[in-house]
Amino acid sequence: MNELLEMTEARMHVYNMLRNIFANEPTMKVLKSLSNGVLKDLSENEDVKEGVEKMAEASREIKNTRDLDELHAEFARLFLMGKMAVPPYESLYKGGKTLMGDAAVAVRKEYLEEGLQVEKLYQEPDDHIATEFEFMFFLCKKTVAALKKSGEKKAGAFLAKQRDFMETHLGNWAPQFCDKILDSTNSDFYRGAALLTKGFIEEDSRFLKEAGEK
Amino acid sequence: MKISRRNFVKLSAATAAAAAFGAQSLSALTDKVNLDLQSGEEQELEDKFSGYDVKYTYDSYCPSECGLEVWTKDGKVEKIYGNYADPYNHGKMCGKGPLGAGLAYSLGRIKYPMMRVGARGEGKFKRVSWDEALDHIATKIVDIKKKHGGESIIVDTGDMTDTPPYYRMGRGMGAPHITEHGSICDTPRRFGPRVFIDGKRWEPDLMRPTLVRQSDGSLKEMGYDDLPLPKYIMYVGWNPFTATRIHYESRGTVTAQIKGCKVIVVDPAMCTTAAQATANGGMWVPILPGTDNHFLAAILRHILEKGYEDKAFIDEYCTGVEEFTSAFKSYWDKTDSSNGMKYFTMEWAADKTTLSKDKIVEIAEIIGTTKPGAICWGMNGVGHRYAGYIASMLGTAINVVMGNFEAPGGTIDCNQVRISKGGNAGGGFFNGREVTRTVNGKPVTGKQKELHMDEMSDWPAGWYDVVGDHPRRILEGIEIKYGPFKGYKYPIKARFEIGGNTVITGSATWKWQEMYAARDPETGEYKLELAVSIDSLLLENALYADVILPAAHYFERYGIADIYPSAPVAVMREPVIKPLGESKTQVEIMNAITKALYEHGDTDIDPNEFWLKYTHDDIFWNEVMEPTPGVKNVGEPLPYPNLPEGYKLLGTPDSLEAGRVTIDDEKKVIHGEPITMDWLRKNQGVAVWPMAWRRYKQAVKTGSGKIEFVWSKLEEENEKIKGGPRPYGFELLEKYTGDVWDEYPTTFFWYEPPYNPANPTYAATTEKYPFQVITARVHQGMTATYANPQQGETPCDSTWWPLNREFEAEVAEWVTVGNDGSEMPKGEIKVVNKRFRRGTYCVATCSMNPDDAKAYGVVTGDVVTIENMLGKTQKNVVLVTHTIRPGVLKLPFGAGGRFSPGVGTTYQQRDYTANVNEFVDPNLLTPIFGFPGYLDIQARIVAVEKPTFATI
Repeated sequence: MNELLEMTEARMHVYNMLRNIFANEPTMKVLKSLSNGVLKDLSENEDVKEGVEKMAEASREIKNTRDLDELHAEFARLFLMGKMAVPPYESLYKGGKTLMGDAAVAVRKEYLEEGLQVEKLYQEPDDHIATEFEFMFFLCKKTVAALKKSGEKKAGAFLAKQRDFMETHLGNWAPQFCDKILDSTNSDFYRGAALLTKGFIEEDSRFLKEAGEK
Repeated sequence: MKISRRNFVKLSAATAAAAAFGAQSLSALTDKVNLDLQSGEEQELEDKFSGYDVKYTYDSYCPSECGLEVWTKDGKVEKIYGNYADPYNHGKMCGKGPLGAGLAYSLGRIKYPMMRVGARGEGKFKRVSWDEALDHIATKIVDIKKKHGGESIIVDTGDMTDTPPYYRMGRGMGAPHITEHGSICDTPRRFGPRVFIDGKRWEPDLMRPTLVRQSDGSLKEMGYDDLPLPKYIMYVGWNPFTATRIHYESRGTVTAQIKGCKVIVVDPAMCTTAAQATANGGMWVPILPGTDNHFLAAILRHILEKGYEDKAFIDEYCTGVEEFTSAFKSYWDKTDSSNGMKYFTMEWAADKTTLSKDKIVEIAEIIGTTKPGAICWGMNGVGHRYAGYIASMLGTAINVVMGNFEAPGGTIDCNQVRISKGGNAGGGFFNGREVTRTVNGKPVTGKQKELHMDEMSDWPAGWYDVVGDHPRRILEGIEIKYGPFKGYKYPIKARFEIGGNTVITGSATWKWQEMYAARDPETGEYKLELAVSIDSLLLENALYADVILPAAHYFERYGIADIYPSAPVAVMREPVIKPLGESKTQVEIMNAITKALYEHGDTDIDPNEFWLKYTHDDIFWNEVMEPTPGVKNVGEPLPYPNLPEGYKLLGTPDSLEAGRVTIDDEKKVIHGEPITMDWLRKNQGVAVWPMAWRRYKQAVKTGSGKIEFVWSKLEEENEKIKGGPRPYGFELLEKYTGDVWDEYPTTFFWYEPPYNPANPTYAATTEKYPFQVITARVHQGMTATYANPQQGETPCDSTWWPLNREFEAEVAEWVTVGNDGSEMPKGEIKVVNKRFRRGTYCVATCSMNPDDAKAYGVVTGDVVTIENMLGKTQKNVVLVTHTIRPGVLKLPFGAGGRFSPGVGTTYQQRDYTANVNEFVDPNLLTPIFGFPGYLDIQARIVAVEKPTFATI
């Protein structure tokens, strides 16, 4: 019980971190924490370890606003600008080739079932990776609250929802997304972020599966 | 529960990580659901998600702006149809219309404000907030205005009809020169209509259905069987079947042909319209490029010699004909030293155009003896040439003297019947603002508009502005040469560009690049201190911007279309979906920029003229329509017999019809109920007023009220330049042709085309550069490929041909298996990733005659390196074809050599397709309007590459 709570809380924090990595460009403050090794002991997973190290190293290289601008420009090139090098939208990994594809509507329904919707509905595609991470973060948060309040039963439903979402959505495209980043950039920061994400998704898919087999 | 923890995340590290990244609350998601849904209310959710919402708007995929009916579901565009209520396209669409969603949801969309990080042109940007972007713009503009005044800002509004907010914004901040795409598109083509009647575009009377008053007083929508159609149409360098924005012209031409109309297409290439004409009793006239003037001059001479002109019409409705014909006839006895023949004779024209004399006589006879009919001259053949004014003048004169102007089945000036719009909303009144500048040490007060960089400086008659000369003006600075500020000098320091791409289209690409890269030798800063791009896609121009602002796509913004119908029509644009990301509408951007300026201390900005007034886009667009339709109640049949003839009409069609009007006899204005966005919403997005012919009886807008063969418009300009320096364009005319002008011509004039084999002055160039490069527009190839690569699967003319090298792209295909592997018996269109093998996908193609190909050892699929008379080179893949005359290389413009990654497959083909604008001589600017001689290009082939396995 305590173990489940502790792990879910940890996962919640990781999802919170991941949504931030892919939604926004890093600030100097974040880079400072990373370069100080804040993620050092996050996980034994090899990809996560390597990713954490790369991000820390890359963060140490950002010394001034000019360096920071370059990193932000790389974020834009990868995820924002014109023909993005790595479109961060699920639809694009499920056979669609435009924004607001089928997956955007599918995850919109998942969010609605939990009483949520995209803040800028119909303006930001619902299937952005950061939004999907945020949804997992939200579900983790609910799970933690349920575990603290009413024990494992209600939490089970939230865990099941996470497992479904991972199987139907996040888990079956995030690894490709990460591979595409690795193919598309020399930036150690984003290569590290891709490895960290890939490793974590692998671990979390396993965790959710095992949690469901109890 | 058995969970392996070995590799899993550690809470302590995760907690620290989360702390480092800050916020713990939701940001992308919210629990404030505004769909009226509660968790678990599945039926309601189902209902909401299964219904379609239908809205009316208009297209902007190309400038045709066809009326559309758009179905949305789940807040997303699902189906797109043509709007039957819009007579312009009458429910029809070309291939681009239904693909509009591909543009709206293109991965290439600019969704957030961006700021440049690298050097200009490098294409490196970072995302910023609207506040940061606006702060940067406002800080720069306020500083620039403080040092150099508002006149040092240019706002170029691109090629849409929904840009009045940007006019208001620019003029409001003190910039007198607000430009638009019209400046770099076919101003020579418009010359004749503009000086003869203050019009713009003459098109054959082909728009059907059209609303016509009947003899019993009723109004009826009349179709092709009800009304006369032209008996001949001569398209000179005009290809309505594939290249033009006049949507009704293709279906109208086909119908006219079925009813016996003879279609003559004068074009060095057998374009689709020419092919269609030859197959239906018409003819293709493969003229030497740039000699349309010679051809039309011989036809006019023939008409006058034979006495075919409509003398009664001329006597009653025209002025200055005698002066014009006498100037024209003064050449008749002169011998052209280049060929020893008398000017404008059939022999002379045959020699110049390389056509047979018999052919020209045959055509002149058709035109001289057939009524009704229309001569229509085009963008490329005439409109984009240094000597294009002359063909435009002659075409206009022939249409008029034959009595075809505004005759049923004749030729219509679409600008004369077009609705008025804009009014105060466009902010024209700001140009009347008093400003004081120090000239030669003394304070001088005048009007904002008297600081205009063109009209008061190098281009006194630059009525459409002179965008093609922007690079030079920015590099060299402006000196005011006429008016109260004469002698005043200022630099251009800021330039906004909205939805345009002048790096590719506004004269020579290299000259624009040179301008953007130029630095002030003292400060080391860019000479043009601020370049702002406002667009929804990342085109080449944006690569040179300091700030990019995300503009709403045409499905996300508002507007009023009034594009070249032959009767007054207003079509509404309104959002059918929400703006993607942080994109904003034109009114929102105008408000945001002016507010930022105000907050940074710009005292020219009055909040009540911007954000406090236009609190909703509708308010702005309603104001735009205050002067609508603004046409006079004149013509046959009289549009509103219940209302006074000759009075200006304002208001909705139904209020005018019902007589719910107030009449101002003093000003001769009839006020119906104002037309508004809400009225349009209730009327399928379209307002149509009755068509009338023979409006020239009371509606010609010239000074004399008649069709002028001596042009008061240019007489006014001569007054302006009196005592001032010779206009810059005259210097260029002398340089390029040897002709000397001391003032603007006010009736018939003549000069020979530069860089042309017909001009003996260029004999040496012709010998060295034996080819003429001409261009053509293929709408699907020019504007579409960056968003919808599937349009590359349809060949067009000889300029868009499947000569690709192997590549991968996403295309729409009909599929019967879903993403999940399930069968879909009915099938649906899906976008799929596809590898295109060599020779299966259309690219910008250089067409070349087989005789030329043989001489150079070229076969279809080879890549030639073309060098122009200035030594600039470009490569292009070749199609060897009989559809082009010898000595001519034809390339589509805008479809090749595209170097912004934002333009999709076109970008992938940049190594073997040419950017034709690299060939343009940036100094070759026409003497009156300063228009680039885009098609006056001589060239040679300097290399031929044979494809190898490595390149294909």
